[in-house]
Amino acid sequence: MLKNFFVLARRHLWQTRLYACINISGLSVGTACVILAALYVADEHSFDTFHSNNPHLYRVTSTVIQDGNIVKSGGTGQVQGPAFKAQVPEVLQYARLMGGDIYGDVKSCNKAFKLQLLFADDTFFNVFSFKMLYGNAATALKNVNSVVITERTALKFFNRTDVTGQTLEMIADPSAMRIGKPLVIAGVIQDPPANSSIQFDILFPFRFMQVSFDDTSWLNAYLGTFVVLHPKANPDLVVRKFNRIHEINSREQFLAHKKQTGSSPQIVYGLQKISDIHLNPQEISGQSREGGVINGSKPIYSYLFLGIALFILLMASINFINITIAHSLKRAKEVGIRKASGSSRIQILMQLMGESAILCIIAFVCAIGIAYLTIPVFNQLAGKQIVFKEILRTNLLIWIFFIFLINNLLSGVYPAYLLSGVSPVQVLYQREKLGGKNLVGKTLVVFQFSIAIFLGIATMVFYGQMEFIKTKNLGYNPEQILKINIPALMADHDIASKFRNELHDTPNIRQISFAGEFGIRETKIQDRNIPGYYRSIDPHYLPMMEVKLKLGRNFSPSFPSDQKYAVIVNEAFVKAADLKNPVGTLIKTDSHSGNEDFTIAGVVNDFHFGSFRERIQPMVMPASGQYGGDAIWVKIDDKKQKEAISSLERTFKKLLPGAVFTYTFLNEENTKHYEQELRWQKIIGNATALSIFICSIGLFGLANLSVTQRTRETGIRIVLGASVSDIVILFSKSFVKMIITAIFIASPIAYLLMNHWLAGFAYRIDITAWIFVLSGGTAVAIAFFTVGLQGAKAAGISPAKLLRVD
Amino acid sequence: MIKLDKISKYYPAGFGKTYVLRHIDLHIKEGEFVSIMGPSGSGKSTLLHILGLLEEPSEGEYLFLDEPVQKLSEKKRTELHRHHIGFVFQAYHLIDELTVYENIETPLLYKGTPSSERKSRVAELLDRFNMVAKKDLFPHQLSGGQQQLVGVARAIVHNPKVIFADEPTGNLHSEQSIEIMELFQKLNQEDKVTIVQVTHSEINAGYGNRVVRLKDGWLA
Ligand SMILES: Nc1ncnc2c1ncn2[C@@H]1O[C@H](COP(=O)(O)OP(=O)(O)O)[C@@H](O)[C@H]1O
Ligand SMILES: [Mg+2]
Repeated sequence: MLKNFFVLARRHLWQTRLYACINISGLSVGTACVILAALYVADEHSFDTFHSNNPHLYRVTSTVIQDGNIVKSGGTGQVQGPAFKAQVPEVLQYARLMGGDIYGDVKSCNKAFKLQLLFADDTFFNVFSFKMLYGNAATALKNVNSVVITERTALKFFNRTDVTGQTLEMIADPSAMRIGKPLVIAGVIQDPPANSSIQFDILFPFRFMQVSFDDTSWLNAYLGTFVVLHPKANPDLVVRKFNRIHEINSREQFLAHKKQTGSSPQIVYGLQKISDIHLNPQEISGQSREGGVINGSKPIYSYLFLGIALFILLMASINFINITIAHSLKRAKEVGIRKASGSSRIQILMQLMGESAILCIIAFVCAIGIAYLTIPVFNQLAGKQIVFKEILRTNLLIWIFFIFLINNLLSGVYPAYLLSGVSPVQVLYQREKLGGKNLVGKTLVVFQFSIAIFLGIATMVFYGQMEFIKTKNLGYNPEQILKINIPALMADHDIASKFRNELHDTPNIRQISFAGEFGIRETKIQDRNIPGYYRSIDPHYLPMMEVKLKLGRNFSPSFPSDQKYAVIVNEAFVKAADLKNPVGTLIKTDSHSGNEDFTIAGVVNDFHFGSFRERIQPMVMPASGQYGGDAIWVKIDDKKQKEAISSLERTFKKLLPGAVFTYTFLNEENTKHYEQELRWQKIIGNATALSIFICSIGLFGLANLSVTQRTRETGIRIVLGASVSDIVILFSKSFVKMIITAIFIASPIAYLLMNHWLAGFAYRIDITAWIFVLSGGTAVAIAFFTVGLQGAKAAGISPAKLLRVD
Repeated sequence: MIKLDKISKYYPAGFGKTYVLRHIDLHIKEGEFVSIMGPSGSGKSTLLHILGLLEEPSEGEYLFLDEPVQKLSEKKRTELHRHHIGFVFQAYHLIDELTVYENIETPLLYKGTPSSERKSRVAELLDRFNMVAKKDLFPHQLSGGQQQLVGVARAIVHNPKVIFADEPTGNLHSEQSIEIMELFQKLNQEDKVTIVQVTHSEINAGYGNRVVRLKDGWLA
């Protein structure tokens, strides 16, 4: 019986190998997508699970409630950790972390690198599980000038890893200058794993930072405080204790704050498991990410990946169902004969299900191969470093197989059920058409194409918006402008003129300016506060950026008082402050440069210095001479880019010995705003290509079947005078109709969803009709070609052959 | 109108070839009513297919309306089918998905006949064949004889110059046969339609004015 099954199955699969190939390739691609998506999701959930203190390792979070605004953050200040440890017995350990987005220049052996810094309490290795390779974890951070570096940092400096006792030097760092001693490497650790939210190149004692920045405020929230609780501790109770301690200790500071600013914020603490941080990073809002954790993500990405993958698998399953149903007409005769010879419905069902199971198992094996081969590409797309072995580590494979099995069952059952139910007499004597008009099959094709068209529209909208961002006039010209960072302590206001003097006869360098970005600050006009971006500039800045002056004048050496008392603002500022005659207006800034009072000297046209997600914000530009700056901005010749950069580097090394030369192109920096968008543009683009592929092979299979089944009809029609194009239209018509239905289903959904996405941009394209026309037209064209070609092939065969009756 | 010059048809068989038709020379003038007769397997259907441009001869020359058929383009061939040729199959070959009415109408659709004219023409034929009541039925709901009648109606609906009929009465009882033969005769005599039929029946052959006999692919 079993042997009979295999013989039959093999013979049948061989006879229908074209359809078997279509099914296997579709299903294996779909399953490979699910495997990759599952790997992604598993990786997302594996973040920070390697710490042995889990699940008792938490981050202290703080929720700030002020004027009805609730801001959640993962940040705390310097005081909370020690106070909580001292007064709450359930807190076994604590470690404060500062880092993530902090970089510094470190030198040794005549090599200097910009390294990612992390400042941590000496309990670091008790709290977190990073593997020490050389050195003693218990004492590594005890001395104020001892540091721990990662393997990769050790290799960079010394080409070996056993480097404890070696010294390093911090360039232009306030703490290092105060300590006046070189840094001693007290330990080398294994590089933090890719699925760690805590990433760094070099680890400093927290005390090192405190040398130059000690802070006792309970109102601050800029670093990360991590605590290990007693296994029996009740986290809710602990949090309550935290809040009580806070209340008692911070009372005076809050009173003083209220007196000074008139506002009285309220802070409520919480605990977040470290393993939850990656998917809910609660970045410290409004500030740079210095709380020790980086690479935060969102659960939505997991859902999107999984959703797209499952839809692709679904599309492949639809091919499977459709081809099987369509093919069942031929199969029906066989089933009829079997029934007439005494086979039961169950036996036939088993035979049919068994055959589809064989196909599916082949597809599953192929899927694993495809996933294995494409994982490097996928990693690049998803920004991950997943190794395929991961699939073995967890019971991921079992899960995937489970999904696969259900899918196989669902897609195999319906056609088998349909086919096993035929009555032999009907099939054998009355040429019964199985499934009648095959509404189920048609609905599935429509559904399948709806997804493909939806994805096509999404891709085009994505592409359109990104093109818009790339090509829109920014109000300034970022081409060939690069920004060279100057270490804060070395950035005096002469630096630009020194550069200019050094480089004045280098032809590749067009313009040099000294400027700084200071983030959002408040500006006072009379008694109103206007938040805006602060950027310090010099007289060369606006001409170099090709920013147009609207009113007043640029800074100029012929007005020496500019240095101290003048600012230039943008139109958005004028509008926000509602100024009639902006030039000459007095404004107050915070006391950054020792001076608070400024006069508006000029107004520039608005330019896009931020991302397109938000409207152009008010901007205030004082002179970088007094206000300070952090970068040299240079416009270079586009033809001699390499030469220009190397002469800049030479000059940089000469003027700022020891500092690390790093630069960014303004264009590249601008695209950083859209990293996620650019990534998803690629992902959705790929998903679209896959879905079109699967739809096309499915359609090809269906068309091929319908042509084979209608050969006789084709022959008759040719004899009656049908031309090739009549035949092509005959076959394409029903498919094209289904696709047009799909266009009408997909378009409004895509319109709504993509509009929702675009709503996240203040400057955006409108979704125009041509996007729908183009994607719909493409779908129709693809259908017409895959189907029509087969019709044309049939029409080309001599009718006598098509009609030959046996 | 039809001129065959040393037409042969063979199929590859093993290392050689099997001839189905050998050196057929045949001349049929416009307005003739020719019957092809011969034992089963003698090549009658093949000859009719070649005459009806459904199949290409392997050798020889075929002039249809003075045009060498081998050199005709696909398009020209389609044109000939649309305007000049009507074909009645031995195995009916109706389109299963279409009703009786639609089956008869199909050649007119391809010919591009206007809708009103189509309607009246199909109605006229339905009437003549006593099939008005059956016009909305599908082929499998008809008996073999009724299906053959539809096949004949479909072959003449577009007023072809020549009708090729492969055993048109093979499945009909004698009353229906007579009806079809009288119809052919009438078409031949009144409308000057050329008719070539394959038949086993001497009675049917009697309606025509010439008999061509085939034996083992040779013209006897
Ligand atoms: N494609 C083919 N290959 C080989 N032999 C064929 C093919 N088609 C028809 N024949 C043979 O040609 C011969 C003539 O067939 P046919 O014209 O149908 O005969 P008739 O209509 O006189 O009964 C038969 O012996 C048949 O087997
Ligand atoms: Mg025959």
